Amino acid sequence: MKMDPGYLFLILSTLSFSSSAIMSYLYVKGSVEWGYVKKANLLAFCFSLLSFLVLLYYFLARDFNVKYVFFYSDTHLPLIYTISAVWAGREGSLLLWLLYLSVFILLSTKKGDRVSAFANTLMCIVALFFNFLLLTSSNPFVRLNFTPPEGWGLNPLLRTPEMALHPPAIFLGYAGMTVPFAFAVAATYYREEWIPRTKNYLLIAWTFLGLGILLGAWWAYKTLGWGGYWGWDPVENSSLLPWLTASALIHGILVEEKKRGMKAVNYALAVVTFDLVILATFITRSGIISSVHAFARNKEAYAYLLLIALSTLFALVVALRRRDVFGEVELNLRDRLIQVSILIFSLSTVTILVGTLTPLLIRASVTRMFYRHIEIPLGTILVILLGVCVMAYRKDREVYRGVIKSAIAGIAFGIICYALTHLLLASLGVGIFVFSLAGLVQGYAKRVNLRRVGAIAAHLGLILLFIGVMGSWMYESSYTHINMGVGQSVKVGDYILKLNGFNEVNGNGKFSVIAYVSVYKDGKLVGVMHPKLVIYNLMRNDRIVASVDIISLPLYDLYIAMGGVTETGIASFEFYIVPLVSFVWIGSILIILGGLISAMAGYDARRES
Amino acid sequence: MKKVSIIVGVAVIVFGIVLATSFKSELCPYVTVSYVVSKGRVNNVQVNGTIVPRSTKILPNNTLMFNLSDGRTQMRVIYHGILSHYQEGIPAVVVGSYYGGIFHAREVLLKCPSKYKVMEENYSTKKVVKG
Repeated sequence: MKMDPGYLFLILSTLSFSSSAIMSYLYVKGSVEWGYVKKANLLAFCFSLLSFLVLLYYFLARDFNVKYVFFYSDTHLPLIYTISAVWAGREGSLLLWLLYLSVFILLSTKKGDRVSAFANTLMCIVALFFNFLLLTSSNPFVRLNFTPPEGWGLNPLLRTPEMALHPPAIFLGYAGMTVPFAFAVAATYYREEWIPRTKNYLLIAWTFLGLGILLGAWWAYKTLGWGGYWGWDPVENSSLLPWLTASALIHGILVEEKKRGMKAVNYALAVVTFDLVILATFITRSGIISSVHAFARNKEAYAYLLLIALSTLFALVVALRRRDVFGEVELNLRDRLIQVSILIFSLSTVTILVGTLTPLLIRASVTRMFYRHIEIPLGTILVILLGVCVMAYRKDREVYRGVIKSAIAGIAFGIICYALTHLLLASLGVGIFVFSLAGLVQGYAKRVNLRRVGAIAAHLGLILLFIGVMGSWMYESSYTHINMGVGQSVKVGDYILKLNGFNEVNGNGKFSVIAYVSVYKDGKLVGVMHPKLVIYNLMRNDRIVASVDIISLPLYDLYIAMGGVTETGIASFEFYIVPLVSFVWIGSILIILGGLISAMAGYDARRES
Repeated sequence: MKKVSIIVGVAVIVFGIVLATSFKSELCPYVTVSYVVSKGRVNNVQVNGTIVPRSTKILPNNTLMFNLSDGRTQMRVIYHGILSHYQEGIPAVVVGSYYGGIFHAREVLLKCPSKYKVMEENYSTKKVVKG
């Protein structure tokens, strides 16, 4: 049998990573030059890229003889989604992971000293893990014994720009978290610093992970038709977990950079973040409807578990042998507050981890309310803490005064809000929002520079995200049983909906029924909404998709989804009024921009020095 | 230093208690269709099964009725609301309570688009060759 060129490149990439791992070990022993390691890494990158390009070529050539291409594309699929179909399934995603990792290895080990050599070995072993999966159980180049004339088709729900970009962003974040892990272990082994070397990789990985999570949430909001953006689904949760521990780590390194300690905590966070990205890769790409049968069905599960166990064990052994480097220095007020924020991030992580892993451990799962009961109070404490923490670089007495000022502002706005709306929780939320905002203004007003712009953006983002989540979770109004014939109107809350008519559009491999619904408030037209039902010409079962329409106003969204149309022309709709959801998007974007700006500022600072 | 550790310790213990309490009250066990039907009345459970083809009835007010099967037993499920990618013949998890011979679903979870294996298992290469 002829070997597939893509598979051949995978084998060559495996050989390159193996030789890089061995040569970096020999480099430490002094028997080879660093140049050889560099060349091996470059080859590993090239072969991984070639393998990826071969898979991409099969998609573009619509070679349905390749099983993976058959399952994720069809002849009607537009070019852009044909490209994104490469990472729509498990095999292609793992290949993307490998490709990203090969780039990170290439870039992060440039320095060529003993720490990068050790880190290089570790990262190559992780790469070999993915090589192993790709060569065995997740081989994307498996061929069918005949060539179907048409593909099974990409899931219609994935045919959106957000879902095309979501996996590349998420997997970049996952692969990037390997760098802090490998350098933390390697540098600790040699009693050197790992944070200056990996800070930017951490920030980049964290930023892209955040971007991926945001794209997923935005996609869920505009695609799934339940008026929400976060369902505490195992897949969503699994990507949030490493983001939370990485957020904690970003704060922890602020203390360590000033040589004040927290080394042990940061080391642990780097290791746990890596463990969680491996767990997330498994949960996201293991293909299980309810996680309950994950281990029985998926042999790969044990491979992932083994990688997590071995890397944790190895990191633990290194840490125990180098206990002396973890000495603590006396922490100041700001460091203490940062510690508390790390504690909150950690408790948050534990909560989500417990909820996500429950189905794997016992025959049960937890409801959304479990997460909300715990995460809302934790998030609230975090936001309050933020308002204090950003001022804590000052003298204790000034901090105290600043907090009093913020508290007065917060209470005043809370009372005003209560007087206007009579909503207790909303007023409390507004009070906390103003308190933290006042803290942020006092904390940063006099010391704005490029490095801090990132932190300001991210913190402002978190405050906005808080108020957005609060508004959209607690005060959403939903009207789920709306039936209208053409020309009829229905009153929902303060709004009147009127079904003007339908339109049918046929073409591009799909058939759409579009409803025209006018929305009136106080007798005035707010807008015409166009919810759709799209039926794709596919063999797949899930070829009918309800497409929602949203009118975004500054303080709330009007959100409509069409459930179906009867033969008599009566259509059923769900209508939601989602308050402050735009704050969720703006807040998330600010957090991501904050990460990006901080990474850029760090890069500039490094170049200057 | 000691005082801080005590405060943090107490906070973590309180958190642990809250977590355990919330966990217990929000836990929703997985059971089979056969179990639910044999019990006759079950509260707050999740049932895994396949939506039986040609069993769907669409009622007014966005209400959906269908049969869920575990291969041995079937039960009638009623759900109010829109399911964006509902189809017969696909696996589903229904969350809710069973009484009066009908499962009242609070939530219906259909195969998530990012989960692929189920589909591959149902339509393995062999089946494709046959038909």
